[in-house]
Amino acid sequence: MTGMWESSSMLDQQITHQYPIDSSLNFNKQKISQQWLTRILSQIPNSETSMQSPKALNLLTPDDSLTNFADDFTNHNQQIRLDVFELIYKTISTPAKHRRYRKRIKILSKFAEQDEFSMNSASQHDFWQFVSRWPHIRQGNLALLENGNLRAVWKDEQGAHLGLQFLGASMVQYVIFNRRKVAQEVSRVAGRDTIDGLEQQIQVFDLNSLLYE
Amino acid sequence: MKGDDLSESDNVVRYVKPSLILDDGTPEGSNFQLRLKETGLSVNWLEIFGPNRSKQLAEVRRLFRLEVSGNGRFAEINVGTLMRAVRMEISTLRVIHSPLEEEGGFMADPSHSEIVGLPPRDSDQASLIGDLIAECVSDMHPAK
Repeated sequence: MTGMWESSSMLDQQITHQYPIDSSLNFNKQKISQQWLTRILSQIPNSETSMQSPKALNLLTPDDSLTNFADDFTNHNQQIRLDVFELIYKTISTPAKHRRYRKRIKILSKFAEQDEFSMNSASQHDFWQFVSRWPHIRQGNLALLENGNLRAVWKDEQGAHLGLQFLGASMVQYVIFNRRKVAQEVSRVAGRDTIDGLEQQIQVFDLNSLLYE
Repeated sequence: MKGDDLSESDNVVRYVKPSLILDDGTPEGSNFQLRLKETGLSVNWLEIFGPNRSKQLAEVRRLFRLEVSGNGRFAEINVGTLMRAVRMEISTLRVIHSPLEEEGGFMADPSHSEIVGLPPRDSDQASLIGDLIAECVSDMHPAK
Protein backbone atom coordinates (compact mmCIF):
# COMPACT_ATOMS: atom_id res chain seq x y z
CA MET A 1 0.00 0.00 0.00
CA THR A 2 1.20 3.50 -0.74
CA GLY A 3 1.12 6.58 1.38
CA MET A 4 -1.59 7.89 -0.89
CA TRP A 5 -3.79 4.92 -0.03
CA GLU A 6 -3.34 5.39 3.69
CA SER A 7 -4.15 9.03 3.33
CA SER A 8 -7.30 8.27 1.34
CA SER A 9 -8.34 5.63 3.83
CA MET A 10 -8.16 8.08 6.70
CA LEU A 11 -10.06 10.68 4.74
CA ASP A 12 -12.65 8.16 3.72
CA GLN A 13 -13.23 7.20 7.34
CA GLN A 14 -13.62 10.86 8.14
CA ILE A 15 -16.14 11.29 5.33
CA THR A 16 -18.04 8.18 6.34
CA HIS A 17 -18.43 9.48 9.85
CA GLN A 18 -19.16 13.07 8.94
CA TYR A 19 -21.23 12.60 5.82
CA PRO A 20 -23.12 9.31 5.91
CA ILE A 21 -24.21 8.52 2.39
CA ASP A 22 -27.72 7.45 1.55
CA SER A 23 -27.67 3.69 0.97
CA SER A 24 -29.80 4.12 -2.16
CA LEU A 25 -27.08 6.19 -3.81
CA ASN A 26 -26.01 5.06 -7.24
CA PHE A 27 -23.18 6.54 -9.15
CA ASN A 28 -25.02 8.64 -11.67
CA LYS A 29 -25.58 12.27 -12.30
CA GLN A 30 -29.18 12.31 -11.19
CA LYS A 31 -28.47 11.04 -7.73
CA ILE A 32 -25.19 12.66 -6.83
CA SER A 33 -25.74 16.07 -5.39
CA GLN A 34 -23.27 18.81 -5.99
CA GLN A 35 -23.09 19.28 -2.25
CA TRP A 36 -22.05 15.66 -1.75
CA LEU A 37 -19.41 15.83 -4.44
CA THR A 38 -18.07 19.08 -3.04
CA ARG A 39 -17.75 17.49 0.36
CA ILE A 40 -15.80 14.55 -1.04
CA LEU A 41 -13.51 16.63 -3.17
CA SER A 42 -12.86 19.13 -0.44
CA GLN A 43 -11.26 16.37 1.59
CA ILE A 44 -8.48 15.85 -0.92
CA PRO A 45 -5.37 17.64 0.25
CA ASN A 46 -3.31 19.90 -1.97
CA SER A 47 -5.68 19.78 -4.88
CA GLU A 48 -7.55 22.31 -6.93
CA THR A 49 -10.47 19.95 -7.32
CA SER A 50 -12.50 21.22 -4.38
CA MET A 51 -13.08 24.38 -6.36
CA GLN A 52 -14.24 22.48 -9.44
CA SER A 53 -17.14 20.32 -8.37
CA PRO A 54 -19.67 22.09 -10.64
CA LYS A 55 -17.35 21.31 -13.55
CA ALA A 56 -17.10 17.73 -12.37
CA LEU A 57 -20.85 17.29 -12.38
CA ASN A 58 -21.07 18.61 -15.90
CA LEU A 59 -18.48 16.09 -17.03
CA LEU A 60 -20.42 13.21 -15.55
CA THR A 61 -22.88 11.54 -17.90
CA PRO A 62 -25.75 9.47 -16.51
CA ASP A 63 -24.07 6.14 -17.12
CA ASP A 64 -20.48 7.28 -16.79
CA SER A 65 -18.08 4.87 -15.18
CA LEU A 66 -16.20 5.94 -12.14
CA THR A 67 -12.89 5.37 -13.89
CA ASN A 68 -13.87 7.56 -16.83
CA PHE A 69 -15.11 10.20 -14.50
CA ALA A 70 -11.88 10.25 -12.54
CA ASP A 71 -9.89 10.32 -15.78
CA ASP A 72 -11.89 13.16 -17.31
CA PHE A 73 -11.91 15.23 -14.24
CA THR A 74 -8.36 14.91 -13.04
CA ASN A 75 -6.29 13.78 -15.99
CA HIS A 76 -3.80 16.53 -15.31
CA ASN A 77 -2.68 14.92 -12.10
CA GLN A 78 -2.32 11.19 -11.53
CA GLN A 79 -2.08 11.53 -7.78
CA ILE A 80 -5.32 13.46 -7.55
CA ARG A 81 -6.99 11.07 -9.99
CA LEU A 82 -6.19 8.16 -7.70
CA ASP A 83 -7.34 10.04 -4.64
CA VAL A 84 -10.64 10.93 -6.28
CA PHE A 85 -11.17 7.38 -7.49
CA GLU A 86 -10.43 5.83 -4.12
CA LEU A 87 -12.55 8.23 -2.16
CA ILE A 88 -15.63 8.07 -4.33
CA TYR A 89 -15.40 4.34 -4.96
CA LYS A 90 -15.01 3.45 -1.33
CA THR A 91 -17.70 5.83 -0.20
CA ILE A 92 -20.34 4.58 -2.62
CA SER A 93 -19.33 0.92 -2.52
CA THR A 94 -19.87 0.44 1.21
CA PRO A 95 -23.67 0.78 1.13
CA ALA A 96 -23.73 -1.34 -2.02
CA LYS A 97 -21.98 -4.13 -0.13
CA HIS A 98 -24.51 -3.80 2.66
CA ARG A 99 -27.36 -4.09 0.17
CA ARG A 100 -25.83 -7.28 -1.23
CA TYR A 101 -25.40 -8.69 2.28
CA ARG A 102 -29.02 -7.87 3.14
CA LYS A 103 -30.21 -9.61 -0.04
CA ARG A 104 -28.10 -12.67 0.72
CA ILE A 105 -29.35 -12.84 4.33
CA LYS A 106 -32.93 -12.69 3.08
CA ILE A 107 -32.27 -15.65 0.78
CA LEU A 108 -30.57 -17.58 3.57
CA SER A 109 -33.53 -16.90 5.90
CA LYS A 110 -35.86 -18.44 3.32
CA PHE A 111 -33.64 -21.53 3.09
CA ALA A 112 -33.75 -21.76 6.89
CA GLU A 113 -37.55 -21.59 6.88
CA GLN A 114 -37.68 -24.40 4.32
CA ASP A 115 -35.45 -26.51 6.57
CA GLU A 116 -37.50 -25.56 9.65
CA PHE A 117 -34.91 -23.64 11.61
CA SER A 118 -34.30 -19.94 12.08
CA MET A 119 -31.40 -17.58 11.88
CA ASN A 120 -29.80 -16.70 15.21
CA SER A 121 -30.52 -13.00 15.70
CA ALA A 122 -27.50 -12.56 18.00
CA SER A 123 -25.28 -13.95 15.25
CA GLN A 124 -26.81 -11.61 12.68
CA HIS A 125 -26.35 -8.66 15.05
CA ASP A 126 -22.67 -9.51 15.45
CA PHE A 127 -22.23 -9.86 11.70
CA TRP A 128 -23.56 -6.33 11.13
CA GLN A 129 -21.39 -5.08 13.98
CA PHE A 130 -18.39 -6.60 12.20
CA VAL A 131 -19.14 -5.15 8.74
CA SER A 132 -19.93 -1.75 10.24
CA ARG A 133 -16.69 -1.73 12.14
CA TRP A 134 -14.63 -2.63 9.05
CA PRO A 135 -16.68 -1.16 6.20
CA HIS A 136 -13.91 -1.41 3.64
CA ILE A 137 -13.30 -5.13 3.94
CA ARG A 138 -13.88 -6.95 0.67
CA GLN A 139 -17.29 -8.61 0.33
CA GLY A 140 -17.30 -12.04 1.96
CA ASN A 141 -19.24 -15.17 1.06
CA LEU A 142 -22.09 -15.75 3.49
CA ALA A 143 -23.61 -19.07 4.54
CA LEU A 144 -26.13 -20.05 7.19
CA LEU A 145 -25.08 -22.92 9.43
CA GLU A 146 -27.49 -25.49 10.81
CA ASN A 147 -27.15 -23.98 14.30
CA GLY A 148 -28.61 -20.74 12.89
CA ASN A 149 -25.34 -18.82 12.92
CA LEU A 150 -24.04 -16.79 9.99
CA ARG A 151 -20.60 -17.64 8.69
CA ALA A 152 -18.60 -15.41 6.35
CA VAL A 153 -15.72 -16.74 4.25
CA TRP A 154 -12.99 -14.96 2.30
CA LYS A 155 -10.49 -16.87 0.18
CA ASP A 156 -8.01 -16.17 -2.59
CA GLU A 157 -6.16 -18.12 -5.24
CA GLN A 158 -2.94 -18.08 -3.23
CA GLY A 159 -4.50 -20.30 -0.56
CA ALA A 160 -5.32 -17.60 1.99
CA HIS A 161 -8.60 -18.21 3.75
CA LEU A 162 -10.57 -16.65 6.58
CA GLY A 163 -13.80 -18.18 7.89
CA LEU A 164 -15.73 -16.38 10.61
CA GLN A 165 -18.68 -17.90 12.42
CA PHE A 166 -20.58 -15.24 14.34
CA LEU A 167 -21.44 -16.93 17.60
CA GLY A 168 -23.35 -14.10 19.31
CA ALA A 169 -22.27 -12.16 22.44
CA SER A 170 -19.60 -10.46 20.28
CA MET A 171 -17.68 -13.71 19.87
CA VAL A 172 -16.43 -15.24 16.63
CA GLN A 173 -14.97 -18.60 15.75
CA TYR A 174 -12.26 -18.15 13.17
CA VAL A 175 -10.47 -20.45 10.75
CA ILE A 176 -7.38 -19.00 9.08
CA PHE A 177 -5.22 -20.48 6.32
CA ASN A 178 -2.29 -18.49 5.08
CA ARG A 179 0.77 -19.28 3.01
CA ARG A 180 4.03 -18.15 4.57
CA LYS A 181 5.96 -15.94 2.21
CA VAL A 182 9.36 -17.47 2.95
CA ALA A 183 8.85 -21.23 3.05
CA GLN A 184 5.59 -21.27 1.03
CA GLU A 185 4.16 -23.49 3.74
CA VAL A 186 0.52 -23.07 4.69
CA SER A 187 -0.14 -22.20 8.29
CA ARG A 188 -3.57 -23.12 9.60
CA VAL A 189 -5.24 -22.15 12.83
CA ALA A 190 -8.72 -22.13 14.34
CA GLY A 191 -9.98 -20.57 17.53
CA ARG A 192 -12.37 -18.16 19.16
CA ASP A 193 -11.99 -14.49 19.94
CA THR A 194 -14.02 -11.37 20.48
CA ILE A 195 -14.86 -9.23 17.46
CA ASP A 196 -12.46 -6.65 18.91
CA GLY A 197 -9.69 -9.24 19.32
CA LEU A 198 -10.12 -10.43 15.75
CA GLU A 199 -8.25 -7.42 14.44
CA GLN A 200 -5.11 -8.71 16.11
CA GLN A 201 -5.51 -12.14 14.49
CA ILE A 202 -5.87 -10.49 11.08
CA GLN A 203 -2.66 -8.57 11.64
CA VAL A 204 -0.73 -11.56 13.02
CA PHE A 205 -1.67 -13.70 10.04
CA ASP A 206 -1.13 -10.86 7.58
CA LEU A 207 -4.55 -11.16 5.97
CA ASN A 208 -4.76 -7.58 4.72
CA SER A 209 -4.30 -8.51 1.08
CA LEU A 210 -7.09 -11.09 1.41
CA LEU A 211 -9.51 -8.73 3.09
CA TYR A 212 -8.88 -5.36 1.52
CA GLU A 213 -9.36 -4.32 -2.10
CA MET B 1 -16.40 -55.07 0.98
CA LYS B 2 -17.89 -53.18 3.94
CA GLY B 3 -15.21 -51.38 5.94
CA ASP B 4 -12.61 -51.39 3.17
CA ASP B 5 -10.76 -48.18 2.47
CA LEU B 6 -11.51 -46.54 -0.88
CA SER B 7 -8.46 -46.09 -3.08
CA GLU B 8 -6.82 -42.74 -3.77
CA SER B 9 -8.02 -42.76 -7.36
CA ASP B 10 -11.66 -43.06 -6.28
CA ASN B 11 -14.10 -40.16 -6.12
CA VAL B 12 -17.00 -39.52 -3.77
CA VAL B 13 -19.85 -37.01 -3.63
CA ARG B 14 -21.60 -35.45 -0.64
CA TYR B 15 -24.93 -33.64 -0.70
CA VAL B 16 -24.78 -29.89 0.04
CA LYS B 17 -27.99 -28.08 0.82
CA PRO B 18 -28.60 -24.58 -0.58
CA SER B 19 -28.01 -22.61 2.64
CA LEU B 20 -24.50 -24.07 2.77
CA ILE B 21 -23.51 -23.18 -0.77
CA LEU B 22 -21.53 -19.95 -0.85
CA ASP B 23 -22.17 -17.09 -3.28
CA ASP B 24 -19.30 -18.31 -5.45
CA GLY B 25 -20.92 -21.73 -5.82
CA THR B 26 -18.48 -23.58 -3.57
CA PRO B 27 -19.56 -25.52 -0.48
CA GLU B 28 -19.26 -24.06 3.01
CA GLY B 29 -16.92 -26.03 5.27
CA SER B 30 -19.54 -26.96 7.85
CA ASN B 31 -20.94 -29.43 5.29
CA PHE B 32 -17.99 -31.55 6.23
CA GLN B 33 -18.44 -31.60 9.99
CA LEU B 34 -20.08 -34.39 11.91
CA ARG B 35 -23.65 -33.86 13.05
CA LEU B 36 -25.24 -35.02 16.29
CA LYS B 37 -24.78 -38.77 16.87
CA GLU B 38 -22.78 -39.18 13.64
CA THR B 39 -19.50 -41.06 13.64
CA GLY B 40 -18.80 -40.55 9.95
CA LEU B 41 -19.77 -38.27 7.08
CA SER B 42 -22.00 -39.95 4.54
CA VAL B 43 -20.69 -39.85 0.99
CA ASN B 44 -21.35 -41.82 -2.18
CA TRP B 45 -18.62 -43.67 -4.04
CA LEU B 46 -18.98 -42.93 -7.73
CA GLU B 47 -16.81 -45.59 -9.38
CA ILE B 48 -18.91 -48.43 -8.00
CA PHE B 49 -21.43 -47.56 -10.73
CA GLY B 50 -18.91 -47.94 -13.57
CA PRO B 51 -16.71 -45.45 -15.42
CA ASN B 52 -19.32 -43.06 -16.86
CA ARG B 53 -19.71 -39.94 -14.69
CA SER B 54 -23.24 -39.13 -15.87
CA LYS B 55 -24.39 -42.65 -15.11
CA GLN B 56 -22.62 -42.61 -11.74
CA LEU B 57 -24.41 -39.42 -10.72
CA ALA B 58 -27.76 -40.66 -12.04
CA GLU B 59 -27.45 -43.74 -9.83
CA VAL B 60 -26.47 -41.68 -6.79
CA ARG B 61 -29.54 -39.47 -7.34
CA ARG B 62 -31.80 -42.50 -7.81
CA LEU B 63 -30.70 -44.25 -4.64
CA PHE B 64 -30.18 -41.19 -2.41
CA ARG B 65 -32.30 -41.48 0.75
CA LEU B 66 -32.56 -37.87 1.91
CA GLU B 67 -34.91 -35.31 0.42
CA VAL B 68 -32.88 -33.03 -1.80
CA SER B 69 -33.59 -29.48 -2.90
CA GLY B 70 -33.59 -28.37 -6.52
CA ASN B 71 -30.92 -25.83 -5.58
CA GLY B 72 -28.85 -28.41 -3.70
CA ARG B 73 -25.64 -29.84 -5.13
CA PHE B 74 -23.45 -32.91 -4.88
CA ALA B 75 -19.87 -31.90 -4.06
CA GLU B 76 -17.30 -34.17 -5.73
CA ILE B 77 -14.05 -34.98 -3.94
CA ASN B 78 -11.15 -37.17 -4.98
CA VAL B 79 -10.17 -39.48 -2.15
CA GLY B 80 -6.41 -39.08 -2.74
CA THR B 81 -6.66 -35.28 -2.76
CA LEU B 82 -8.65 -35.42 0.45
CA MET B 83 -6.21 -37.75 2.22
CA ARG B 84 -3.15 -35.73 1.22
CA ALA B 85 -4.73 -32.43 2.32
CA VAL B 86 -6.30 -33.51 5.57
CA ARG B 87 -3.76 -36.01 6.86
CA MET B 88 -1.38 -33.09 7.41
CA GLU B 89 -3.79 -32.06 10.17
CA ILE B 90 -5.23 -35.37 11.41
CA SER B 91 -3.78 -38.82 10.88
CA THR B 92 -6.98 -40.68 11.78
CA LEU B 93 -8.87 -39.85 8.59
CA ARG B 94 -10.17 -42.71 6.42
CA VAL B 95 -12.75 -43.06 3.66
CA ILE B 96 -14.42 -46.45 4.03
CA HIS B 97 -17.01 -48.33 2.05
CA SER B 98 -20.25 -48.70 4.02
CA PRO B 99 -23.00 -49.97 1.69
CA LEU B 100 -26.60 -49.67 2.85
CA GLU B 101 -28.93 -52.62 2.68
CA GLU B 102 -32.52 -52.41 1.54
CA GLU B 103 -34.71 -51.23 4.42
CA GLY B 104 -37.88 -49.27 5.22
CA GLY B 105 -38.90 -48.86 1.61
CA PHE B 106 -35.45 -47.69 0.53
CA MET B 107 -33.48 -49.64 -2.06
CA ALA B 108 -30.02 -50.92 -1.22
CA ASP B 109 -27.30 -48.35 -1.91
CA PRO B 110 -23.97 -50.00 -2.75
CA SER B 111 -22.23 -46.62 -3.14
CA HIS B 112 -22.71 -45.42 0.43
CA SER B 113 -19.40 -44.76 2.15
CA GLU B 114 -18.20 -42.73 5.10
CA ILE B 115 -15.41 -40.33 5.93
CA VAL B 116 -14.37 -41.32 9.45
CA GLY B 117 -11.79 -40.17 11.98
CA LEU B 118 -13.01 -36.59 12.00
CA PRO B 119 -12.82 -34.28 15.04
CA PRO B 120 -15.83 -33.92 17.37
CA ARG B 121 -18.63 -31.68 16.09
CA ASP B 122 -18.69 -28.01 17.09
CA SER B 123 -14.99 -28.01 17.92
CA ASP B 124 -12.65 -25.43 16.44
CA GLN B 125 -10.64 -28.23 14.84
CA ALA B 126 -13.82 -29.56 13.20
CA SER B 127 -14.30 -26.15 11.56
CA LEU B 128 -10.73 -26.12 10.35
CA ILE B 129 -10.95 -29.63 8.92
CA GLY B 130 -14.34 -28.83 7.37
CA ASP B 131 -12.87 -25.84 5.54
CA LEU B 132 -9.91 -27.93 4.45
CA ILE B 133 -12.17 -30.64 3.01
CA ALA B 134 -14.26 -27.96 1.25
CA GLU B 135 -11.10 -26.83 -0.53
CA CYS B 136 -10.68 -30.36 -1.92
CA VAL B 137 -14.01 -30.20 -3.79
CA SER B 138 -13.32 -30.44 -7.51
CA ASP B 139 -16.84 -30.09 -8.88
CA MET B 140 -20.42 -29.35 -7.87
CA HIS B 141 -23.20 -31.33 -9.57
CA PRO B 142 -26.96 -30.62 -9.50
CA ALA B 143 -28.69 -32.75 -6.88
CA LYS B 144 -31.77 -33.24 -9.07
